[in-house]
Amino acid sequence: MAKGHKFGGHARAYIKVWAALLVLTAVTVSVSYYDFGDWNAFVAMLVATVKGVLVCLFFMHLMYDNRVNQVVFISAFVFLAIFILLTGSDEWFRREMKPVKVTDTASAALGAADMEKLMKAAPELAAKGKEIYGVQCAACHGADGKGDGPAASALNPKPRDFTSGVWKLGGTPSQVFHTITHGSPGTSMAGFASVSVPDRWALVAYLRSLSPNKPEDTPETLKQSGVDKMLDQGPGTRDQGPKTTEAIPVSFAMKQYVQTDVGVTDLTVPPAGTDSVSLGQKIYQSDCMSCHGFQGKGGIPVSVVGFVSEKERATLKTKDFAVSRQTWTYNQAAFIDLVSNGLPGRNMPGFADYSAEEWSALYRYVQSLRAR
Amino acid sequence: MTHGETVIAETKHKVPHHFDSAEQAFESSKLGLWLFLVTEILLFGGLFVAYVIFRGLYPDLFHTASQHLNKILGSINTVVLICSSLSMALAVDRVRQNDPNKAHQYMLVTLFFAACFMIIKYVEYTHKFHEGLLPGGNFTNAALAGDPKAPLFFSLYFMMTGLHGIHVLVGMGLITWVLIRSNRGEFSSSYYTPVELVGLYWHLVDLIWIYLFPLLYLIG
Repeated sequence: MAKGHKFGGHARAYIKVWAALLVLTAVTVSVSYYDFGDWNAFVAMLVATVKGVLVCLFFMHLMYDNRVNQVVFISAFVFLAIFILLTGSDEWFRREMKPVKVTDTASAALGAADMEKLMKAAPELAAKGKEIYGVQCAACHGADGKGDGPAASALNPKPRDFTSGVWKLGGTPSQVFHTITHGSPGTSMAGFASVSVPDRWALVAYLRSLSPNKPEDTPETLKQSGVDKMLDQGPGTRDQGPKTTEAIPVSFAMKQYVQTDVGVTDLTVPPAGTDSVSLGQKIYQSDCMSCHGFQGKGGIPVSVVGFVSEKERATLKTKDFAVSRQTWTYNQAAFIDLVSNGLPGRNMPGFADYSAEEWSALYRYVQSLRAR
Repeated sequence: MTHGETVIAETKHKVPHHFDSAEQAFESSKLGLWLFLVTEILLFGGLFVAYVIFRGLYPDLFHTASQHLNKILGSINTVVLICSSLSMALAVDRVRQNDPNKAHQYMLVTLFFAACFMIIKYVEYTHKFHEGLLPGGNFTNAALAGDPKAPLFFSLYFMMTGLHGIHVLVGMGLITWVLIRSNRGEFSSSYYTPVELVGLYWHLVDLIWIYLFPLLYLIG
């Protein structure tokens, strides 16, 4: 076999390569004491690559190896390059966006004291719960909570009849809250953690109002359902006020990507002296206006990160609500579906974090913009 | 010289029956090892990508944090590994030239350099531990306490050099193994596949360090 090999005693060549590697190491270490700015990394990687190529070609004698092995080994670097370039392109072409101070009023409104209020089955809470029940629960549990909704016949076990007074997983407020949040394992009852915390408490109030059996919470049931952690934990935990954190909220991020130019039809901020009055208007102005305009006339060009050229950007303007003939213009369910999911690839992000009440308010407001 | 030994060696090794010839067996083993080296590059590739991303996100942090690495020790270790690569290449060359005694000496030299590398690594690590320059939640260094992202650099440092260090230890084990087999006279110019493959593996360990060294010590 020795005869068949194209390389014989290579000691001399190895020593030359070794000397070259030492020189290159000295070079890369000494240039590191000088600052070439952005070129530092380039110079260092260039020297490293020359060293690497020497090691591969001579020490690993890839130069004399057969073609298959050469292709195999080089393919590793091709894949590595793809890996680095595709991952890097995501980051390198991002626009710089600094976090802003956000005052988290939602969690402030849900301080320990408020949680306790929510737990008390106030009548107005039960009324709100009934509304949510109609949207989220009635299909299975029935309009009157008798477990006889349209979908009930297909289910096994049958949905709970709330008027029976039976609670499989406990009927104290915290236990009902826990069941709504996490569902009932082994049945078709799913967890509804997507429903906001106040809405879930409203549901608890409504469901308990249906039942002749209303056990109250004990420290054990609170602990068992994990609700105790959401409540007052003693001095110092109550009413600490709104929490301010650094974050990049979606509405803020969207505003960063909006470029207003001469061709804009609508305003992106309300004219001075305008007050938001209705709930729908408030939601619209906080989440939709920056792209769709103050009056929903659209025409505001929305640019995507990096890759969109000036020409393409012109086509990415928001549409005037009034000229749309799509399903959402007359069907609230279609509207909710569209807004929750957004339009992937067309710059419309999904906004799903609304309660039933907020959805209908937003829908009404957008309709009023169409009718303008 | 040592031709008497080689004749014995040639009779010892049998080409596995599923190969047509010794040449084919050798080439197959080598292709397998190259494929393994590809997976090694992609294994380190994940860490390199993490490095690229985090360095892009926090360039200033990487600059200040890398000042806490010892450039001198890093350079010495680079030289040590290059020397070990040379001695390994020479060892393979000597085996191929039917000169096992020289080959054993070169392998011992390689082991010596590898041990030097690990000892220097140990000194560096001890120093980092002492200064509290540790990954994640274990980070307690006071000088860098102002930067909440500082532990990130040291997570990458320990992951990258640690994984590389494990490769050095495995390489030392493999070199010891071929050294023992060579001592038993199992290799000659007609059969030296394990020596060749261990050599390739050892050069890859060197190759990876050639990139780790500037990325961590020099251009931070």
